[in-house]
Amino acid sequence: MSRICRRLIPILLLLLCLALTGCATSQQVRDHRPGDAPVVGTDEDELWYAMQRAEAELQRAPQRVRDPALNAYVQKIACDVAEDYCRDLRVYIMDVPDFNASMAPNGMMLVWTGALLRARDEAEIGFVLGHEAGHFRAQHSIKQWRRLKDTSAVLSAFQLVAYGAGVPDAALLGALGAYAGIFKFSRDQEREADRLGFASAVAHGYDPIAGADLWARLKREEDTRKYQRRGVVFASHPATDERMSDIRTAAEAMPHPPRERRRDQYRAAMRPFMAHWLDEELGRRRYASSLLVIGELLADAPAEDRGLLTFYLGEAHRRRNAAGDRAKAAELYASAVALPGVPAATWREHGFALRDAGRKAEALDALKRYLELAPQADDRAFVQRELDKTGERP
Amino acid sequence: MSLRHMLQTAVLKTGVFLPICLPICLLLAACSTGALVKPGTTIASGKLMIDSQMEWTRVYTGTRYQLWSIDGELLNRLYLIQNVRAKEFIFLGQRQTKRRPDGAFYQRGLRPDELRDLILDGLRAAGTANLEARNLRPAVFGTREGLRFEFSLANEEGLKFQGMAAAFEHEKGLALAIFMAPSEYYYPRDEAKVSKMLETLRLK
Repeated sequence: MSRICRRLIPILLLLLCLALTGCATSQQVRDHRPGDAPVVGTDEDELWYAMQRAEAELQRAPQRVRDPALNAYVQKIACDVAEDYCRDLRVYIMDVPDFNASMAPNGMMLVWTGALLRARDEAEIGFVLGHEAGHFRAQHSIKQWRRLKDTSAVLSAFQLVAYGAGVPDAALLGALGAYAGIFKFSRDQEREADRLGFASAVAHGYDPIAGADLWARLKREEDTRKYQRRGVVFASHPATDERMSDIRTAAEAMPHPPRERRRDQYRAAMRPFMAHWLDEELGRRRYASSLLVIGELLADAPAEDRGLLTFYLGEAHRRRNAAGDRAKAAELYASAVALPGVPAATWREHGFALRDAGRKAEALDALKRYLELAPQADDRAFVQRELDKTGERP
Repeated sequence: MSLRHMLQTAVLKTGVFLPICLPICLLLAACSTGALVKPGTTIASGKLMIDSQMEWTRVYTGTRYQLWSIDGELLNRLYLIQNVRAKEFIFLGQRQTKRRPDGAFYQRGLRPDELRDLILDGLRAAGTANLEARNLRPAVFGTREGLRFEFSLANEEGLKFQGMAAAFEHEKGLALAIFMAPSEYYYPRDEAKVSKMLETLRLK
């Protein structure tokens, strides 16, 4: 075989593989009407069965948030944006401090508490839940499942031919190309779900710019983790700035957009859980992210939440403990104790900060105040020891 | 959920793959033992000593830590770590770097409640849920001041555990002991004896 032919074979095989994987998934999905289930014995039926088993496990998961009022509230927002598909959806709130939500093909929707913490109002979380409902409506899971199966079959046949022809490099390149195709398919599905979510949220009356506001904050948060590089070819989701830009463009194209945000209702529903979620947020020990998330929450907060958020912003500084953080934390604790609704621990931290600044009398007052406010405090023994060091007993 | 599992989970979650993970796992597997620990004073790890009133099995013996159990690793486990160094993950295995700045990394000079939070965040990073601590208190280990506390958690499958921790700083870093067992039967059965054991933790 001539040298030119040898060089051409891998290229031709690669092009053939890409063409075949590109043509994969020819099987049509069923007409998906609200309340429908897959036809018994189909691959979709099998996928649903597997998901039902996973859902049974999920119902017992320790991370599941079971508070009835919170569940009812989030389920209602999901129902509003899912429209007729509402009866097919079951929302599970999971106590995980990262931003995420997901949708299973059988109607099991997961929302992480990190997403609830980061959203500012019903309109923003409505976009997220509308996006997930869009995956369900457009049957993305079964399409992805079939795409994977078909690509895998085509790839196996291609690799046999490539190895048989003595061109293993083409087999490897073919595999990379096929996997890149799967990820592109996934990104396209995400774009479609974004469009569906946007349309249903706006149809419900939510402000179309809310989704862009949320993505803009998520982009700023992503940028705090410069050490986590995001792939382009092998990414399952489009880049955050692309999604933000698409929503903004669509919102700006609307002549008379609705303006509903329902911020107060959202804040009231989330308020009882904020302290726990902020503790979990700090437990991740990603302080650059947490400082941004809590700082922006504080900047947007109504008066009744400012004390709590000021305290937790101080906590993020204290725990990070980089240059200048202790001074910044001390400043925030001093501000927080003057605000309503702060946790008792604010007085403890304020007391320790005053002690470190050499203001002993004020420090003792603050620590005593802490023990008065939290007589059963878990760390009472240590705080008492601090008081005893100076001969004070409350 | 063993320390080895915690270590592997934490390493994988922070994006350090086979080049580091595999040799560590192989090393850990190679060090595993099943020797009997008889009642009395025992050198637990390096210079870390402890007095036990009961028999244990040494499930794992390494240069940095030991894992003991009574009925098997899934039913009760006692981790004894002689030394967590500054900038090291609280359960060992990785170090804080510029490329890996985030995580439960130990720093010297932390307050007792900060040390408790660090241990809890290390357990969170290992995938536990519903973590709650109680009864943080001062304790003396030999000649060194330290802390103790109890905690409860659920593993990824939802099984509820209870545990107790003891820690104290020394010249080279942090000594740490953590006991945990399922809340059902095993923890209440051994709680008092293990608690007494942790009181005797000290450096040689």
